Formats: sequence, C-alpha cells, structure tokens
Amino acid sequence: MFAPFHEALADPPGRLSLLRRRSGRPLIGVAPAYFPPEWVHAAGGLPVAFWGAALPVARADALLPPYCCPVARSILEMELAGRTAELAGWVFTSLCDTLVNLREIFRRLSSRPTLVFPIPLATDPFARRRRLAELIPAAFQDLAWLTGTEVTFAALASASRLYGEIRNLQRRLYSLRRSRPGLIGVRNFYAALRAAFFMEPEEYRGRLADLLSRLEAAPEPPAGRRPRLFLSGMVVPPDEVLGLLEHLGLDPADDDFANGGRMISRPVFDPRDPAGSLEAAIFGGTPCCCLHVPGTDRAAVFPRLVREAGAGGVLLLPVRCCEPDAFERPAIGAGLAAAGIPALTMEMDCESLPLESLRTRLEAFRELLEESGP
Amino acid sequence: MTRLASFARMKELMTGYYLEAKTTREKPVIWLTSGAPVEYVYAAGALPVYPENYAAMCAASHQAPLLLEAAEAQGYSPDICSYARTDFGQDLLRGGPAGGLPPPQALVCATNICRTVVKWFEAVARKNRAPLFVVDMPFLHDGLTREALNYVLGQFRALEGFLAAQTGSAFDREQLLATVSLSREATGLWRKTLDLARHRPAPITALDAFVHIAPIVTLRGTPQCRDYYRELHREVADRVARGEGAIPRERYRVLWDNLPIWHRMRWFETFFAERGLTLAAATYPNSWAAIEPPPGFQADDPLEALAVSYLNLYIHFGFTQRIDYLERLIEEFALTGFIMHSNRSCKPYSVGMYGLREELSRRTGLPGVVIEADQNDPRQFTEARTVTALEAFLEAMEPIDG
Repeated sequence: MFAPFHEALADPPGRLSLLRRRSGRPLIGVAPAYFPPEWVHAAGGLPVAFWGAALPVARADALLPPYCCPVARSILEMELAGRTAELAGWVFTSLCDTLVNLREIFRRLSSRPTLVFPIPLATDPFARRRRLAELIPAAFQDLAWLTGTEVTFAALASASRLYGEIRNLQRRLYSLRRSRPGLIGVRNFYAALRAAFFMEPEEYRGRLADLLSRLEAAPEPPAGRRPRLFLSGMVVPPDEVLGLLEHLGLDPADDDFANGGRMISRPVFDPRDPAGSLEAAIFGGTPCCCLHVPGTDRAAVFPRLVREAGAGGVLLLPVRCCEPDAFERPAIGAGLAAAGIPALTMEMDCESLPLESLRTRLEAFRELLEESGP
Repeated sequence: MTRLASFARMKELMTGYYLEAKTTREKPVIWLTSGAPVEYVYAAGALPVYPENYAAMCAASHQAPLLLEAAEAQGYSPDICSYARTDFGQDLLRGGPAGGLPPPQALVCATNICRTVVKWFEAVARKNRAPLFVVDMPFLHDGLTREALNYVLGQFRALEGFLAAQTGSAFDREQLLATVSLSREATGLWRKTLDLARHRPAPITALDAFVHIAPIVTLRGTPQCRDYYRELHREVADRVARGEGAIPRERYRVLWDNLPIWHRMRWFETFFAERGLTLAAATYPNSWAAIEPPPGFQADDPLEALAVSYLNLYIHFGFTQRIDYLERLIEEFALTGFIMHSNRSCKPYSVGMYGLREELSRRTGLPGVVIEADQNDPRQFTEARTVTALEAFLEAMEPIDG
C-alpha cells in the first residue's frame, strides 16, 4: 500500500529526472517553507519541496559554516553535488536568517534562477496585509518569467482546488492516525505525507485517496497499550529515527512539523481573496517558530495541542542550529512541565545520528510513559 | 594604541544613561534592537534600553561567561545568539556592569539586523507580559525599492500609535522631527569621524570605533549624543592635523567585517599594534553612519530619509551589493587586506562569508582571512588557531612601506 510513497522518496535525483520526463513541466525547487505550491502549478511548473536530507555534507562545507542547520547544509550539498540538476530554478522564502543568505549563495553559484518570497513579519496587521497584496502579483510575474507560462485566475483556481483536495486527504490521514492507534506505521505515515513533495499532484491525490479508502476499510489493529506521543520540531526527522520509534512501539498521535502538522493545519491559497487567503495560508493554523503572529504564544498553545491529540508525552525533535526553534524550547518545556506532560528533547542532526544513544533515551522515555499511564 | 581622551567623556555619558535607565520613574522603559528607529522612542518621551549594547558591555568586561551559563542552565541552547543568551543571563542573575537591565514596559524590534531578534524579543515580551512591536524591514536582495520603503513608512506611522499607548500621551510629530534632525547630525559626525581613517596613518581604528559606538547606538537623537560626536570628531581630526596615528608604526591597513569579538578586544589591540596592523575600516560601525543612499532615494522628507537609512544597511544587502561595498571601502581607505569574523552568533553577517572572502580577494587581489569565533562567547575562541590564521594572513599581505 505504501510502496509508491516510499519509492517517491528513495532516490531524489532519479525521481526529479522521472518527474521532468513524465510531467513535461519545468521542475521548481522550493526551499522551506510556506511558499504556496499551487502557485508554481498554476504557472505551469511542478513544485518539488526540499526539507533537507540525511546525507554526508562535504562540498557545502566550503560555503556554509558548521553552525548552520543541517537543512540548509544538505540542500546546498545536493545542489553542489549535482543532485538537483533537473530543476529549472529555485524558490526561497525568508523564513530565517540562514535561508535569506542561502538564497544569496545559490544565486552566486548557480546559473539557474532563484526567486524569493519575503514573508512579512510586521506587527501592524494593515501593513502586513498591504505588503502581501503587493508581493502576490510580483511573485506571479517572477514565476511566469521562470516557467514561461502566465499565471491566470483560472489556472490558480484549478491548482488551488487540486492542492485543496490534497490538503483535505492529508488531514484525513492525520485524523485516521489519531483515531486508530497502531493502524499506520510511523515510517509509512510520513512517507505517505512527504511523498507529496516528490510526486505529480494529480498522481499523489489519486494514490493518497486510494490509500485512505483501504486504510479506512482495514480491520482494527490488535489492541495493545502503546504510549502515544506528540512529535514536535521544524521538520520530520530522518527515516532512521522514525524507524526507531516504530521499533520501540512509540506511537505518534500528532505532530507540529512545518512539513507535517503545521502544513496541513493551514488552508491553501484562494485566488478569490489573494491577500486574505495567503495571510491565512502562512500565519493561520498551528503556530510556527519562524513566524511572528501577534497575540499568539506558541508555548501557551502547545499543551492544548498535546491534550487534543490524546498524547501522553511529547518528543521534541529540534534540528541542530535551528535558532527560531531553539528560542522557544525553554518556554515550551516550562509550559509542558506546568501542565504535567512528560517531554523528551532529542536534537536532530541528519549529518550524524547517534542512533544507539537515541534508542537508549527513547527506551527510558517509553518506560516513563508506561509507568505514568494514560 | 593611544587611547582617545574622549573615552572618559563617553564613559561618563554611558554611566549617566544606564543610571537613568535603572532609576527612572517618569519615563516608560522601551527595549529596542540596535536597528530600530529610536528617534520615535525619544520623541515619545520614553527611555530606550538596548540589550545588545548591554550584552556587549558584559562581554567586554568579561562578565558574560557566567550569564551565558545561567541562560543555558535554563534550557537556552548554545546554538542561539550569544547576545540573547547574555541578556537572558543578566535577567536571571541581575548581572553585568550595571547589575542588570530594567524590565521593559514595551519592546520595539526591527528585522533589519536579523530575524533572530524577533524570537529574542518575543521571549522577553512573554516573560514580562509586555507588548512587542515588530518593524519588519524587507531584506534588500536586489537593492532598495519604493515598495519596501512604503511598507516601512507605513509601519513607522503605526509605531506612533503603539508608543502613544505606552506613554499615555499623543505622539508629538514636531518633537519627532527635532529628534530626527539631532540623529542625522550625530550619524553625520560619526561618519565623518570614521572617514578620517582614510588618512595615513589612520588616526582611529575599528577597535576604537567599536568602543565609541555606544552613544550612537543608545543615544541617537539626543543633544548629548551629537555633542559627544562633535568632541570625538574634533579629537580625531586633531590627530590627523598632527600626523598622529592610532598605533605607533602603521604597516598594514586592514578591513574588519562583522561584529567585534568583545571578550578579546585588548588581546587583538596588542596583537595588531605589535605587528603594525591598523583596522582602518569596518562594516559594523558604519551601520550607524548613514551609508550613502542609493540613487533615487535621496529623500528631502526627513522621515523618508530616516526609513531609507534604516533599510540601507550593509548587513541588510544582497551579496552583490555587499561585495561592491567592501571593494569600495578597500579602495577608499587604501587597505592592504581584510579580516572576516565568522561569527557563530550572527548568521546574517556570517552565512555566505566563505564565498565572499574568495570573491573579494579575486576582485581586489588582496589577501583575506576568515577567523572563527563568537562576539560574546569566549568558549568559541581558540587563540592558537586564530594566531595561526592571522600570522599566515600577515605573511601573505604586502605592507604599505614595501
């Protein structure tokens, strides 16, 4: 059932080549996060989103210091190693200081165009809305220049419908995981989610709909008491870590990954209300550490998210050197402690994963959760 | 290195400033980032407090390590900016030269220096239950645009309302214009002072500039600030008139890129002076020295000119503009090489620096070196490694006297 999703993620360079051949569309690399993929689709392109990769970094060391996050380092490594050669261009957002400069590095080393979408952070809601309204037509113009296809209202409406359907299917997947513990393995779940970044959306929609029908019709998994977790971090951790959770019988009920729960909690772009819907697509939904949303305190919201998920504990999986996430960790930890929710923090460095030590810590955490009971 | 006599006046000025910040009952204390438009805060009758400046003072007086450790014990990762960690530590221990900072009634933060400050100030706002106003300044990937300028001006107008709510009085536009005028005078004098380092020997070094930066950061827009820079300019100009250099025998004239390494100021001073190396130019002090606005943005309107000056910062430029700017400094200050501080705590300055070093060397034909360290965290500094890198750099550099 899950094989096509795993296949989509197995060999990124091979996949990009296949996608380009099959779709006939120019492939546009999207560096995290919150750039609407439906815009790329409406411009006749095929968005492929890069959230970092577990690979040894060698070439990127010459351009990025070790205190940069592995997401940025691995994306640059892929580019320098020629693993993204099939892309027609890149789109970046201004999500953090590293990404802002990474775009500048890319444009100096690559002959391919790099676009940027600056996410406004103004406290003043009018200024923010006005700014978004200005940025949207500029982004469409840039995309049209990149792909050679003008972005029309009809194309946007159609792409938004397609991506809206995908978003709804992904929400069903999340809901199924929450309501039927043990039905979907951890690795399978995230493969089904992340494959969206490396598949044609029409194909992905079909395969995900089919998967959901089969899962919904599947018999109940054997009853068993598995500790349920809420996973938190900027990006879904590497497959090895997901496999470890599965192996240890730790069962995620929900997450707030920017390429997971945060993403699916947001609506897609609606061309009938460009600025308003883009504002909701970026700033609405589960709070993100990289955004400034006046009146929203992620640390205060966090215990509620965990309770709503029915999780007995939280696994915080921050990416090494991700400053926005690191700033919020103490407040989130304090909020969880005050709410009596056990939490374990394990820093993720996809360049080197100390799996044995992670396993020991996870085993101890599982015991703690089992003792504290549901 | 000969210490400037103005140093005593600056100490007096800064002591008075911190004393007022610690004791004021009349003025609301507003925390600011170094790139935020302080003129609005002074015009509103509030007192701006700069945790960045205080963090630098803590490091320069070697009090930062204890504060960093206290913040880390609270769960703040060593991966986050050491200014922020120093600030969290001063709050926990009431530490540093002034015995801690007064808590903010409100905070104003601008993204022209980094986006990290937003997270830092959010944490402080959360702890103090104080309102935060973020002035978003779009990064200038391809130079300044009218749209970016209008976006910032719109936020400046909203800032007036935010400050009026903090002080309980209507915002005074006349007072703002007077404050902006004082600010422009001070930044102009600061620029003129830094420009005097074009003379050979340079009468002032970047290490001096790093120290004398404090009033232009904290007191910009006050008469005391303007007066101070008049005095400093006079003193440095007198040195030029006497042909006196900041160090005894100037052999190398070098650019420093990035923030200083505050906890090693004296060490660098000695190391450089012994080898005849003057840091004749630096990008960081120029952040408050009103870089020439781009064509088409020489505004007559003082508030528009103010917004341009806050957007038009080296650290806020795309790399093409950065390289052009560095090349111009090298030419105008007749430099013989450049040092880049790969600063673990400042990603906007440091990410991409390795490539910039190569490109700048290629364009200018001059040697450059990257040294790895951190503005405030001494644990990130390895003396032997730095000496090796700097010695190799000196070997590669042609002295001005041949």
